[in-house]
Amino acid sequence: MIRVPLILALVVLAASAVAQPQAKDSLVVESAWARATPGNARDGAAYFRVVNHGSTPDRLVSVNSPVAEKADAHETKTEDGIMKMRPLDRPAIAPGQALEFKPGGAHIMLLGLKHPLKEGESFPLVLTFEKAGDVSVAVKVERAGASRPAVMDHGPMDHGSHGSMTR
Amino acid sequence: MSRARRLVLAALLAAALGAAGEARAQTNDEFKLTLNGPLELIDADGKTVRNSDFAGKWLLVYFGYTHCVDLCPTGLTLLADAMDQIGPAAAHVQPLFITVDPEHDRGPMLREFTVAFDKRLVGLTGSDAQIAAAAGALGVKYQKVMLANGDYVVDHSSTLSLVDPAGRNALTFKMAEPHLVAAKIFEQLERAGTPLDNVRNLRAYR
Repeated sequence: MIRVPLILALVVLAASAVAQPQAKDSLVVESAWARATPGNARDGAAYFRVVNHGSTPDRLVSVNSPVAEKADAHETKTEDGIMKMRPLDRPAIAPGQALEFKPGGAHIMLLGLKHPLKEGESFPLVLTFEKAGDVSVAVKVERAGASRPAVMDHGPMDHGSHGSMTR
Repeated sequence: MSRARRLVLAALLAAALGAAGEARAQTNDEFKLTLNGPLELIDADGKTVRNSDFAGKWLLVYFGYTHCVDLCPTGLTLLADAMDQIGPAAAHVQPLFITVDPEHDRGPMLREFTVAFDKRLVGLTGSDAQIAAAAGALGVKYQKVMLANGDYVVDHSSTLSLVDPAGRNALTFKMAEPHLVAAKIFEQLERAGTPLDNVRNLRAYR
């Protein structure tokens, strides 16, 4: 009965290779997604959630991605009915807390995209934390105005995302 | 005015209107406007566009800019979803995206941007004066702000405006979920006598 442990080991290996949340020490970055960019727009937005499972606070120091010339953390705020977007300076993640990047709030602005972000694709994003160091995540591209990462199909309409198979 | 004071005022206003039997209070969330003249802007082909070019249609207007990656795509998606929700009544409504960054947003890129959200959506730009006039007429505020890193943002009101087919009256209201925007559109169209007989689920929005 040597096969069972072998299969188990393979399953565990495979599972760890595809595991979505990538942990580095006690920081976990999960549900990373971005919006498909409209037309030839050279800027895009990426979102995710960072959970601090550790006992010390940490900060997001910088963000990089090979798909963009620059990536910055921004925040959307409303003041007197006016929406304002401003850079977020090294946002902190307290122990036991989560920092959510989502539409209408904190977001990563991808500036100078080298190519449009297409729905269904994914790209790497490297988040550098003050203590945890670099955490690399795969960012899944959703439709242009998506308000959350898709877990299921949006509806009965096929938006032609399989169009690349026609050639 | 302080936030607390405004809240108190809004509560008093709501109470007063409630006592008068008016269900829908005129609050900070929406305001009526009278237009003094036509809106005149420029489309993606560089052609001058006026209200009269959308004859017989209500205009559903969102102000934003293409360099805005978080809020504006959300707003335009809400607008597109609201257009879907109003079903056949969409034939009476022309959705417009008016840029508050006319220096950057013009030409074919404007169309490439809008069609990504909805094929019915028309993107409009203009001279600084034309944009200022359109925004002013619809009670929309905007201001370009330079950031320390050399980038820029354009702060702007997060609202939608509905202009009547005559181009005389407009209602500007706070951006909301698509079903609430759809309800607002139905309410205005119905009040103006636009036929909605072919809208099957109209009662669900009342």
